[in-house]
Amino acid sequence: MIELTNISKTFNAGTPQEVRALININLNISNEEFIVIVGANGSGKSSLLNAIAGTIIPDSGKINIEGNEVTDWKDFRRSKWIARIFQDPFKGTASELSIIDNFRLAAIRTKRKSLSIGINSKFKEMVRERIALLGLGLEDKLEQSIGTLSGGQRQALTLIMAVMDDAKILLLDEPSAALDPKTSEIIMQKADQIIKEFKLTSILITHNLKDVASYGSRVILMKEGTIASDIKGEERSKMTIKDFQEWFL
Amino acid sequence: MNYLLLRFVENNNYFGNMNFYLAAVMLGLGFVALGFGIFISMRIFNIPDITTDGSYTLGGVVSAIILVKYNSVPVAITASIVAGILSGSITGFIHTKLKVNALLAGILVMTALYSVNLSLMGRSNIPLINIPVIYDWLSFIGDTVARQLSILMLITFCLILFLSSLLRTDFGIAMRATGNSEVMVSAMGIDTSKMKIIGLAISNGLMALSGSLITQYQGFADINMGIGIIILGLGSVMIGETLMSLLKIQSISGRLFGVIIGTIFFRLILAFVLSLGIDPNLLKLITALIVLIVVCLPNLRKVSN
Repeated sequence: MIELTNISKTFNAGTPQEVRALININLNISNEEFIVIVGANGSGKSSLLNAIAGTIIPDSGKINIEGNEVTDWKDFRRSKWIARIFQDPFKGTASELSIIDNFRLAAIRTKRKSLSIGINSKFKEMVRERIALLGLGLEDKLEQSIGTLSGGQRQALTLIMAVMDDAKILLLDEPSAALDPKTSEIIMQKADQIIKEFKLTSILITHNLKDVASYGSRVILMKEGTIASDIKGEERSKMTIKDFQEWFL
Repeated sequence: MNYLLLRFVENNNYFGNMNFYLAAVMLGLGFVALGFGIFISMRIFNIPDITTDGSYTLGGVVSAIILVKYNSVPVAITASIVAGILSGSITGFIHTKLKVNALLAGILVMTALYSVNLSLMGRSNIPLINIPVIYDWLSFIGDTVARQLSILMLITFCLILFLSSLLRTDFGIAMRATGNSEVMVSAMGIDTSKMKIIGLAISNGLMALSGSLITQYQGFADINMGIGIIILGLGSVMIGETLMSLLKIQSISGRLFGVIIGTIFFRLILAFVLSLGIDPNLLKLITALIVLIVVCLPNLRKVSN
């Protein structure tokens, strides 16, 4: 599904601010795997995720997605497989646009943005039904600008937006870090449910050890730009929150 | 650009003269395309593009040259729009591909266009004497003013129809989102650089169209016709926005309609100020002051609360 071979990335090379964000990373992610990445700040978690998303292009190494070499592809080209959820709920949606406009863009993520009007009554009905499943009462506010909603509501909507169009890969960069504990839990459960229902290959970055223990089929610990531990299968299912806590001692 | 208004002032027959205000309304309609252009660059794309002064003049210059040489109104207007699209694309390219600050990219192209306009004309102005212009169409309408007004209103109607349809398409939603959340738009599979270049191209094409319409209305193209024109457009957009927000109108066609109202309203204010007998040389100063007031009004209201 996703193959990273010898990926390295250095920011501000040759200056006193030089940061070696990723050092010779090799990682194979198979279909429908749900990887949780943990690590201290500056360990390279986000750089790794961004290298897969295409928002940073590595200095060396190769990235393959579904058998295509995409190393030099920018993020908008990789979006035909990848849907993304950001830490900042404001980044994943266009504030001044209405809910329905945001959903229309999400529904044509992998398609051409043509000169035809795509928002018709059928489309609105479909969006209304999907939003109603959230149980937040947002289905009657389709024409309202999405910026008027709370962070939690917006994050919940971005989760459904991610699967409005064909998606194979879901990248979640601390999706619940900016939310209160209760909303954060709801968002994580919703994300897990969508990942299972749509059989997505997923990568989640989180600092919340409870989430690390509860979600995912494989867990990766990053340290100083390298993969320090990579645990999956039976070994992963035996681990408890205590084991993860020890990683950070 | 204020040639007609000034002529009324000079003849001292402006006060209370309906034609004086009618002329202001017509000038306003001629500037609607400019207002739409600024609405697209500044509001839809959030790019402070000031290529305007150059591309507006370019539109006027290209039209004047073609009208004088080939006597064809459709060719003149089409060529003007194409020239505007080209200059907008250049600004967009410099901004997105060469990674130059948008403001600077606009200033560079605007400055370069001054020389382009001057060399195209070969002198500082071209009069259109006894040359048929767009306002000579619809000749079945006998009265000149009624004819001009009908033609301008028809053009305005076509423009708002075109833009409000465009902005509602899937492509239009992508345009609107680009100025709003670039991260999201890239994640939705949209090349933001390409989108911005297209946006600036459309915007400057509209500005050049405005230059062409005004040139044909006032009967000449002048190298200095674009000076400060961006402030006029920006002021119009902002007046329109203030009005629409008071009426709580948020829809795209409503906002576009606001630009039309704003443009006409702005011309009427200027006409009124002139009618008070203020020195026409101070017109730019007054224009700047009006825009300043419009910009500050919402903030002042907040402070007083």
